[in-house]
Amino acid sequence: MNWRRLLVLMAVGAATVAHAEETPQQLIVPPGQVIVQVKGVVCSFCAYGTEKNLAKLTFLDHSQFGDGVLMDIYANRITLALAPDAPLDLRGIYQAIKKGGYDPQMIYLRLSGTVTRQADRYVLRTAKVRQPVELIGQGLEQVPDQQVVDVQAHLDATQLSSVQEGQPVTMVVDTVEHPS
Amino acid sequence: MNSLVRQVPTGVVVATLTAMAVTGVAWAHQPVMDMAPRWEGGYGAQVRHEWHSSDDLKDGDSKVDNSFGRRRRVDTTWIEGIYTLKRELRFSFKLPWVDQSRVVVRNGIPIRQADSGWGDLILGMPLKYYRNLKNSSWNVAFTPSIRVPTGSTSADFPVGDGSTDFNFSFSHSREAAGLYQYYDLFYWVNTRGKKGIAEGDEVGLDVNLGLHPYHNNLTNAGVFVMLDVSARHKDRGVDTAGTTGGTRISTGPVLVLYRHNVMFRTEFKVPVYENVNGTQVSYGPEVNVGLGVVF
Repeated sequence: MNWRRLLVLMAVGAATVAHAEETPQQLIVPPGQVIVQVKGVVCSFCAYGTEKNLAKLTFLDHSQFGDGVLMDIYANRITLALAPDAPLDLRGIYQAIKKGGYDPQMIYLRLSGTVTRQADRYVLRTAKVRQPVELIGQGLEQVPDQQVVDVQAHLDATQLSSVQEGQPVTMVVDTVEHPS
Repeated sequence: MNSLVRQVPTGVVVATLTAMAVTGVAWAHQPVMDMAPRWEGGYGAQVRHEWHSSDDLKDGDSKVDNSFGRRRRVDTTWIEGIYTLKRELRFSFKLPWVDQSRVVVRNGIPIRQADSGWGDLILGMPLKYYRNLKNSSWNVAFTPSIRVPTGSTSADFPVGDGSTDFNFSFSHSREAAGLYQYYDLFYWVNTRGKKGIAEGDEVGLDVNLGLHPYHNNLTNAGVFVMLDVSARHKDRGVDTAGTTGGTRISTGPVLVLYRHNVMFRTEFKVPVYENVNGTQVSYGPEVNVGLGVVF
């Protein structure tokens, strides 16, 4: 095999490594994890500071992935392993990534709790998030009041950047599961 | 090539192997240090060894007879550090330890000259603009630097030239998960030094084009394979051996290994074009080995 052919093969291989894009509904967040889509995370050495910042967050299960943080440079994603009982700090995640030199694009999470219907609003009471959670999106109208649900939801960069302590957080529901 | 291998100092080999054994893997050098540390409060350090040597005598772009055995060898160990105040602003330093020797001809007699010691300190302030895209990241940078005359000029072949010099660099790098590219255009303003040394100004272009053929998400370890092309043009000047300056293009492969926050970089370059002012010893092939860490 000559050098030119080898270089072409390597270039083609590198170009085909990129993953096919998933819709929020197609992405499945495993229980006990949060997935953050981050622009530009294509080199783990370059993103070491982001990983270091995230690993300091107290609500992570540091026994997983070495430090609770798994970077996937091919999918531009960071997966966080969550400690079972600690509420997660969305603003802390956002700031850790921004100070690490990258831009969070979307955060996907799975939450369990009780949905309360307030007029046309759906409020999720959950111990997993420090802020009150308001859900929007399709499928919620089927959920009875005071229903225990398991939802997968996401926030985009704008919503994530505006998260404030004590202020409600609006999340878009991707999937909702409930017994009834 | 065999003679080249014989000329690589044993100390370089031992230091490299020791560093690799201590750190597990390793890293270093400018282009990859270019991408990290990009985080606020991040800092890094690296040790990098450059070696180049030649006994080829050139007149312009032609190789000529070297019956007096003129030659030059320069070993430079760079101690480098960088601090990132914020993503757009860094501060860097480079301090060389130089060990060098050459054979010059004086009154028809070949004379060996040598010196070693700390060379001239380079302080830089990289100013960067980053853009993170969906599947890639790029930056452009402007870096003003100053080289201060900390090196001694006492020897016949001194490690310093006694001048304060200024550098302006414009660089661009872009990376995706499988590809890496880096371009750096720079200009050195060399002022008049001591002992009659007056190096000419230098313009240079460095290009790194590479693939990222292996990365393991679970271990944060991987490999870059690159091609380095370096072009230099230095105006006619003078040092303690005579005329300096000329044009040179060198190229060769680069291998980078990394794991977590540690990176090892090695490169080997040969001049593919060289046209010197007057008669000078060729720059020769160049070996570069570095080990770095970021925090």
